[in-house]
Amino acid sequence: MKSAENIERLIKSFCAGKKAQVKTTTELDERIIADALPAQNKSKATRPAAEQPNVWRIIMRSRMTQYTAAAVIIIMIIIGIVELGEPIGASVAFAAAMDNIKQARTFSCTEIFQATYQDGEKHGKYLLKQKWMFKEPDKERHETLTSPWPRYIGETTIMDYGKRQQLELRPFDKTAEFRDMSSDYEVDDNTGMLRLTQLSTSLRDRLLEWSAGAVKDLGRVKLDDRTVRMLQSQKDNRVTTVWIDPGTNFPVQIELKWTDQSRGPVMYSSIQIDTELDDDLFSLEPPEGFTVEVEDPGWSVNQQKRLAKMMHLGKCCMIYANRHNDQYPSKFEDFVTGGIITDEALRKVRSALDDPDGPSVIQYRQPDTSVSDWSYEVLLYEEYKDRSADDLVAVTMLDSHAELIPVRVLEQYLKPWPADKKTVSACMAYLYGHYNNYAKKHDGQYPRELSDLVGEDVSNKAITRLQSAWGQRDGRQVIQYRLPHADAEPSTEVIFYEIYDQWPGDGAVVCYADGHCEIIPEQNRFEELIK
Amino acid sequence: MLEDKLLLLKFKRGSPDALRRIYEKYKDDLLALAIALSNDRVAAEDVLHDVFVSFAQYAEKLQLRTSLKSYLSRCIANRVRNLKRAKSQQTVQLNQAEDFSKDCEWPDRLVMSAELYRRIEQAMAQLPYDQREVIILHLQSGIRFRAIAAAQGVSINTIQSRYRYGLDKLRSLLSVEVKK
Repeated sequence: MKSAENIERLIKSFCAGKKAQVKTTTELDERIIADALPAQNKSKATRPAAEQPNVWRIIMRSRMTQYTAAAVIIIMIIIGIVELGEPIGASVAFAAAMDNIKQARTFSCTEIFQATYQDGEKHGKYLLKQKWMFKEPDKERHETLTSPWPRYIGETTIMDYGKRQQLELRPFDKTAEFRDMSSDYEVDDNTGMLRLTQLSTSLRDRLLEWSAGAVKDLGRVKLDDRTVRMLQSQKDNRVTTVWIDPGTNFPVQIELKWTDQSRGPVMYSSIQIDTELDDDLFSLEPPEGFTVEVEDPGWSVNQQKRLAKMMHLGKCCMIYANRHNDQYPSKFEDFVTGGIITDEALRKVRSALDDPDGPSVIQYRQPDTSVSDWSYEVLLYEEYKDRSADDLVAVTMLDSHAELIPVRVLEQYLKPWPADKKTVSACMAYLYGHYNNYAKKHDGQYPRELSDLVGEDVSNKAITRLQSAWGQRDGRQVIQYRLPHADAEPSTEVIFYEIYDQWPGDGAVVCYADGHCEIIPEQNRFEELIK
Repeated sequence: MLEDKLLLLKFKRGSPDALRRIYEKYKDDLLALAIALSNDRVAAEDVLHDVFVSFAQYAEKLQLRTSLKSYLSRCIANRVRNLKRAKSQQTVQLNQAEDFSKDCEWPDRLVMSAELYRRIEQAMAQLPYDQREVIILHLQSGIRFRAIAAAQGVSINTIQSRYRYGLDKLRSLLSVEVKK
């Protein structure tokens, strides 16, 4: 009699042997693929287009809310890289160093500056430290070293542009997010044309330009136990101090200060150019013990291209505001006169994907910067007049994030209403989309209560968040559903209305069964409508 | 694992290349599994065909709680099960089983004669289907007991019992010596 272990081993070997003998035939492969591909296409075609936007919008909203603070920081990072000031002009002393740049293939530094953040109702400041690294031609790493929120400390993003993959590591909860970058696009600054994202060396190049522009020699000083040359230059209200390694002529530290205290200093320390960076730093393998998730952007390639255009124009807006004391342009053409983008490049970016020489399809809207939450204030949006209410349009919000939202939601955001009312009506517009889909699927029957909407397309959590207008009032429910009467006129039958403790001075929002929203200023009329 | 997650992501977004890659990656293992469960190459090829077409058809709605390999293996097992029910096929047709090559290399340096192979095959054929299925899924496809239990909607204890009873029965049916 064999032991249990032996028999298990014997059967395992038997199975492995049988398995090794089996191969599919070419005919079978062709038959299966020939039948499976049309089935896959059919699957895509049968999916109701109207279902996708709402689900993804809510997922994105949830994520945006979670990372609101981080999003604000991201803007500052972009400003830091792109727009801290032009170089003054290279001195002869550093011409050699500039030549060496062309040979440099690796870079790392620590960026330190005072960041402002918004956390709910509170605004604060803290010292942001982040580590930047790259290895040409296609590897990049970014690590957050400090943050007021412990969960963001140590958060690391590794991008491999060659493999078109990105890994985000979150040590706080030992999670990792893997992202496919094969459809990540950006706009070429010079031409306005779309291209696949690629490694940017602009931070290193800018630091070296600043370094080369420093002309006033302050002599030799000690920095971290080594002797370095200290140089300084000033242009307008910006003072640039550079610590140079006399051996390599490369900067090891750079500080930017503004004499008018208009902004806090920015320091780039531990600068290392062309030193060996271990490949493990750019490994896309998550550390042991991390739970890995794959992020699905949920957008098609075309949608990602449209979003890339919106992000680029959003960046132009930020640069403009940065150069003009936080004032946003009054019209698109100000970008050209301000020297931010050429007329030709602007025209290309604003054109439709399928008609690069055609008319503009992106509009600019001068934002209200006094609103408390910039993530709901529209800055740029695609033309929507000829589209249906369920169609998705790309928008860029004032906090610089871009997303795709249904036309009916954009219409709410563009209303000249107070910000909190626009948020309520936007959430009602989303709920209306789900309500409408439900009716289409149930032979015109409307949900008896909002929980009936929960299913494949929308989660209970998403509905709850919409009802709280994305947590506008400490997470309390702000929107109430009202089952419409069967024979009622849709344009006068309220299906969603704003809940209040005390009648709001500027009225309450309602959404009618035809999808349009209105602020009702008089309490009596409001009460009559929701009876 | 990561590659599978990425493939699945692209597949769900409608990438035909991802579908092809998934097929290429698992086709042989899945066909071997289908043959092992059905003992019928022709039926096994149909099973593989139906599983992949169905997999492609429901790409958008696919929600995996297990690995892709585990999911596809379970799809194969379920199809074979349904096929057996449909045909009321209770006995195994050994003459239709996959031909065995006498000179194949066995793993773990185990030397197995053609005679022993035939005896194992006969012994496997005598197992109740539930027990044979668990043994093949676990030992051939490497699916964990927990995943098999979750897919069949039974407890892990039930699956482990089926596995143990199956091995006990095989042990009593086989009396050959194993040369190491």
